[in-house]
Amino acid sequence: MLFRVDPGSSVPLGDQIAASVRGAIADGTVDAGERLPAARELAASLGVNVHTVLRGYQRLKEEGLIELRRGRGAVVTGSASPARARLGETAERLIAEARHLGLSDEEIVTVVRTGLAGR
Amino acid sequence: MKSALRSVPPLTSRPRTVIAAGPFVVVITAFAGIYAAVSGRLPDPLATHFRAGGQADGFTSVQGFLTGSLALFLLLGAVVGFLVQLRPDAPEVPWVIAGGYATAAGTGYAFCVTLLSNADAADVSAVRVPQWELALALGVTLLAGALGRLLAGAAPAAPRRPRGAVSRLDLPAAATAGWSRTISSSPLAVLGGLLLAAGLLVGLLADWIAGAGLLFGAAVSLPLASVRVTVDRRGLTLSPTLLSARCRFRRIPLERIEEAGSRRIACFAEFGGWGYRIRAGRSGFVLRSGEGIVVRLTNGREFVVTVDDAATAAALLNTYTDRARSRQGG
Repeated sequence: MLFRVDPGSSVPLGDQIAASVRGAIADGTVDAGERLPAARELAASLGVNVHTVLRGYQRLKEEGLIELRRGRGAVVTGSASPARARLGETAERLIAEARHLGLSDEEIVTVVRTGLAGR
Repeated sequence: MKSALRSVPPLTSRPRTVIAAGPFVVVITAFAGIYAAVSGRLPDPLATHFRAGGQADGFTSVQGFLTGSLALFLLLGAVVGFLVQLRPDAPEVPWVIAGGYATAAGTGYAFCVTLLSNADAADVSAVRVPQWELALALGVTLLAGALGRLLAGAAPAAPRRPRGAVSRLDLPAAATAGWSRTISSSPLAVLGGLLLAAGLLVGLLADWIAGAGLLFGAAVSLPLASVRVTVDRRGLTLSPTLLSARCRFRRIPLERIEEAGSRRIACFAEFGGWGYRIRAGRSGFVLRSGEGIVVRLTNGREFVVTVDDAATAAALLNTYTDRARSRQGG
């Protein structure tokens, strides 16, 4: 799978790494069970800090897309389907758009909660 | 040596077979000639095996020695002829011919010396072959091998295979990208596991020296069973999946890469099997048939690795090679 980072972008590097993995799962390049490179290795590969990579991996873990195991590294979980990854991408777009409008974090959550309350 | 080899045009298969058979005919003729010259003066049995010091310690009847020698020459000649006939255009053929020359000369020399040493011997157990004959035999072997390689001519050009689609990845100048994927082979993992188990079992129950060979086999096959392929700003890297951050099998830096592409690879037809394979003009790490990265190196060789999504990897490799070149140029 392809990892891309652009230091010129306003998106934090860790989030860019997470977005690469999310994108690869969404378009089916990466399947469940695929092992991602070790954080230290990916950091050397891209020329970024190890902690930056770990921040990206941590986000993916919180989204339920990967599992982080000591000694085994990062593995794409069985529940990580392309649809699930696309949902993460949609959320990213929602946040980016809301930020662009100048909304605070609290206001963004309120937008989502209001949408949920209607159902 | 190299330029002489290049100037000789590749031979067709017929003269190749004649050239390959040549040394065996020469050796049989020489052997028969020497026998004819000394046959009246030979003891029976002959001293045919010699200790490190040169003293005789093995004896064979004249009849047996002659039949055995002749059979061996014919058998070796037949094997070399068969190998050359089998695939006359294989790039390895000149080396098979060279090997045939070396083998014919080495064994022929040893047998002729045996005959000559036995001539006029009153007591066979006193027959000696001087130590320096061994060095001489080695020299003759090497010389004959070199002669055979020269006569065989240039290696037939390996069939040009399409390099496959060559493309570039669209990457902003400030951005970096890395591509990484694992390839694994369950047959190799199973083989490694079996060797490891057998090695431990033999080591524990019998002795560790016997188990060491099996354990060595496991140590060689297990790391190759799962390999991480990485393409990034440093080039193309192959490393064992479990220790990928610490050690690697192979890295091809960008400066050595001419161009990369991707195509379907047939592991048996092109490389004759699985694993790390080396062929004339090309090498590669192939664990299956199918999609793979094909890298053309600046020295004209080709390196191949079978992996999914090879097109993306090749495109990224080309983008980075372009970058490295423009950096060097500017």
